[in-house]
Amino acid sequence: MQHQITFLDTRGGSVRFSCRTEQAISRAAEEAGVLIRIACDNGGCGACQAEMQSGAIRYLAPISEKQRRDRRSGELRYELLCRAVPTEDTTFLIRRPWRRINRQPMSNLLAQLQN
Amino acid sequence: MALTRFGYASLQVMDVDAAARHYVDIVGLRETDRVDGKVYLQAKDNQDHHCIILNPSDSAGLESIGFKVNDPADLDNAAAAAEAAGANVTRIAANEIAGQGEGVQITLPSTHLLTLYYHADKIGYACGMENPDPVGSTETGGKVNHLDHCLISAENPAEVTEFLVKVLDFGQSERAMDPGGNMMISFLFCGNTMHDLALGPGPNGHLHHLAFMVDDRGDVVRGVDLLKEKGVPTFDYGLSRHGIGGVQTVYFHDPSGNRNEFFSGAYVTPGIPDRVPPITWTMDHLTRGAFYYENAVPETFFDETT
Ligand code: FES
Ligand SMILES: [Fe+2]
Repeated sequence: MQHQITFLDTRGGSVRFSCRTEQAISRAAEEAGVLIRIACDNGGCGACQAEMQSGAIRYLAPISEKQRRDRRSGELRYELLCRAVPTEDTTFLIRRPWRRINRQPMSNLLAQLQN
Repeated sequence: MALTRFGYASLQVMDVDAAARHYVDIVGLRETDRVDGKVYLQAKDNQDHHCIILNPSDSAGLESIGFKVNDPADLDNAAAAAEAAGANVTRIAANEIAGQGEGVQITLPSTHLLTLYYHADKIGYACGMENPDPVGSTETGGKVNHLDHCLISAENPAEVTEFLVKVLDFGQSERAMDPGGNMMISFLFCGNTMHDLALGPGPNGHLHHLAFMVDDRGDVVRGVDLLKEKGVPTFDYGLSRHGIGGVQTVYFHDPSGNRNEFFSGAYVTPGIPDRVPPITWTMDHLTRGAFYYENAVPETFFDETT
C-alpha cells in the first residue's frame, strides 16, 4: 500500500512522491531523489522536522516529544520524518530546504536496492 | 575547591532497553545496576558505580551532568560559592542517586543541572582488582576506556564559561570567538586533559555530545568499523580529526538521537586552572578547527542537539 507525500517549502516550491505504509518518509523521499536533512536518524535531534498540513502519520519507533514542539512557544508543531510513516496522503511544510538529486537509471536501481 | 573529574552524564531516553543495548554493545560499557526503571553503566577503566544513567523519558536529552570533588568539604564550599553567584542550589541525599553519596546540584546559567559529589560506590575495574590482565576484553563493543567529556549548548556560552571558571575553578584550554568578540565555543577542564566540559552555541539545557575515550587512532578506526557494521547512524563524516584539541574523532547517535563520540589523543593540560592562557580560534579558521581534514562544518553540526 502506498500514499502520496507532498513536500512544500517556504518559498512556494513543492515536490511529490509516493511512500509505502511501512517506510519512513525520509527514506521514500531519498528514493525519489529528494534529500532532506537527516542527522541522528533516530527521532531525537530534530533535523528532519516538518509541519504536517494535511493527512496523517504514525511513528515506527519512539520519537523525542521535545523535538515536536516549537522551542519558543512550546506548542506542538513538528513531525519527525525519519521515523514517520504515512497512514494516508499527507502534505508537509519542510523546515529546512531539501536537495534534489537527478538520478541516472543505474542510481535509481541502486537506491531501490538499498531501501 | 577542586573538581577532579567528569563523573557521569544522566541521559533521557525514549527506550531504556534499546539505549542500554547501545551503550553495552556499541560503546562497550558494563551495565552495573537497574533501580526504579533507570539503568546505570560504567566503562572498563573506572571503578565508580556509573558514568551513564539512563532515565526513561518522552524526549531525548540531558537530565544532569555529574562532577566529582576532591574533598567532602568542597561540596559546602561549592554550594556557598554558587549561591553567592546567584545560582539555584539544591542538596541531594546519599543514595538519592544510586551508588552515590550526598551531593550538591547547581543550576548553570544555561539551565543545565550540574551535580557535584564526593563518594561513589566502588565496583572495580572491568579487568578486576587483583592480578589483572592488562588487556581488556577484545569482544565488547567500542574499546572505550572512560567517559571523557561532554559538549553542552547554551544561548550565551561566555556567561556559562565565566560561571564555571570563577565559581567552580574550571580552566579554559581553547575557545572560538566570532568577529564581534563573542565567545561561541569554549573548552573547559578540571582534570588532566584539555576538555571535561565544553560549551557551544545552541538552546539552553541541550546536549551536543558525550565523548568516550579510546586508546589510540587504531581504536577510533575500529570504532567506525563497528558503527558501520552495526548500522549505527553516524555524523556526515566518518573518521576525522578536530583541529581544536587535535583529536581523532567519529560521531554517532544512540537510539534516542543523543550524540556520542569515540575519540583519542586529547593533550594533557599542564598547570593550574586560570594560569595557562587558552588557545583562540577565529571564525575564518573555525572550519579547520572543527574538522581539520574536511575544512568544513556541516550546518547539522551545531544545529542538532538533544
Ligand atoms: S534525523 Fe534526528 S530526529 Fe530525525
Ligand atoms: Fe568531543
